[in-house]
Amino acid sequence: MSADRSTEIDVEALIENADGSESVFEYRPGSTPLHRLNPVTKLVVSVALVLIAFTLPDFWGPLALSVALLALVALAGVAKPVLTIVLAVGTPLALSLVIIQGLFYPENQTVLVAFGVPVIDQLAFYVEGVEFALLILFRLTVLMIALLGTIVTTHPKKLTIALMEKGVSNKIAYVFMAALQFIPQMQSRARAILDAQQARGLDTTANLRSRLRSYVALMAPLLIGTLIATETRALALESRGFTRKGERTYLLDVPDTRLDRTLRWLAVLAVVAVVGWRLWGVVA
Amino acid sequence: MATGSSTRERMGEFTTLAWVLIPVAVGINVVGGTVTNLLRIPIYLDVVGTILLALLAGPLVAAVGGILTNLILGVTRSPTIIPFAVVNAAIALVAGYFAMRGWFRIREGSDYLKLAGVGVIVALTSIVVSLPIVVTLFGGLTGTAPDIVVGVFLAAGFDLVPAVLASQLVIEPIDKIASVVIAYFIAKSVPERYRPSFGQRALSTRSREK
Repeated sequence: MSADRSTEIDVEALIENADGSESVFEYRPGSTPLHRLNPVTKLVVSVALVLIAFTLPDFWGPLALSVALLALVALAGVAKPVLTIVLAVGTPLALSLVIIQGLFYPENQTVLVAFGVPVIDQLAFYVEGVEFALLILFRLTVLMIALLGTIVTTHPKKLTIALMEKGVSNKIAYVFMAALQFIPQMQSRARAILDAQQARGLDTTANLRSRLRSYVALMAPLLIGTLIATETRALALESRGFTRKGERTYLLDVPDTRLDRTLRWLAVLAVVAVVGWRLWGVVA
Repeated sequence: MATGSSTRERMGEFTTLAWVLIPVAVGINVVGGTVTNLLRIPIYLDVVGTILLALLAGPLVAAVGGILTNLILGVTRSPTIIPFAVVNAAIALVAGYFAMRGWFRIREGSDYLKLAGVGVIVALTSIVVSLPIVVTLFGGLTGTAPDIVVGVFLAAGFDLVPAVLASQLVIEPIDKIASVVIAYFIAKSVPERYRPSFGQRALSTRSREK
């Protein structure tokens, strides 16, 4: 964190290295086209893809979208962090969806596979249930890959600046950034308070009632400590013109190119087209 | 309500203090889950921060905090949490409404029943708002423990909606009553000079200000 003595300081690199690694946002620096897109474009396209995935009627569409998105994040070199979370969240979800819906989906009719099982005689997985499970699963995969792809290729500061340039209030931007910074801080404070209370005789193995009471004993000092710090924080914000109105300049430059505008329009058009196609199918 | 104060004042205002409190409440929501793990408490307690904010700064500020909680969890844990931001906001509005109506002014032992009442209503709100999200977006299953209950009910021949409802009726009321009571005690332990004016009114045990 030492000050850079050279006159030419690469602000961008400085900011990325200063809090990119310890941020809870799993941001991965890079310079691929996906990294260089305007953050708002990435958000708009992600939301559009999610809407499309949830409008498509069977699992093939969301499956194709998931594969395409996976290829895209792989090209951007962020497949590993994205897949880690997708697998961690998706695996239990996939198991419970396929097993429970495959066996018991109310519209089950066609048997896919059947096993002879002791006690209950026979256990059968049905086509309808498995297809429904896959539909839900791949829709959620699209949601996860699209948003995670956006998150890991976008520095949180650039995201907030891009949002503010699009007219989002600086207060919303502040609470978002502050909350992201607070959580790891509060987590380590909570651990410290827990240790301190345990040293004073707090019993974490006692009965449930006293453990609930220790929850308050933990959270109250955490809150009060943070509240006292918030007063200072409010003063610091005020002194930096937090509530002032008018044009602002930002340390980081977030370009918004013609490619960005085109992509955003295409995303909106794609959503309108798919929703229109589905409505047409319902009417006809 | 002849209090003489404007609606804006009664709903809680977006002061700088309120804005600064929002990330704190988000932090409590998120850290609360970790602490329940450390203390091995078998419920979620993941909306304590939202309810606390509703008590201290009113329903609207708390709704912003609730939505933000799910956005943050969406980007740090799993994007599948984002749709449930609606549930968190609904909980904030309901808890904040009852704070406005003075259900958190405890003067005698029997007043604690009011807290339990708020807890039950918050639980019902949570169930009613989350049910359509769980059923339409997730097909009734979320990859967590209550899925087993859903499976049992489906196996017994129930439809999806009643099965999901049953799984939520098991845990929600206990979780939300505990959350409301805990939020109350944490709010009470905040020194009065750090409470926003909404919180001072919602928690004051002095004679009614009507």
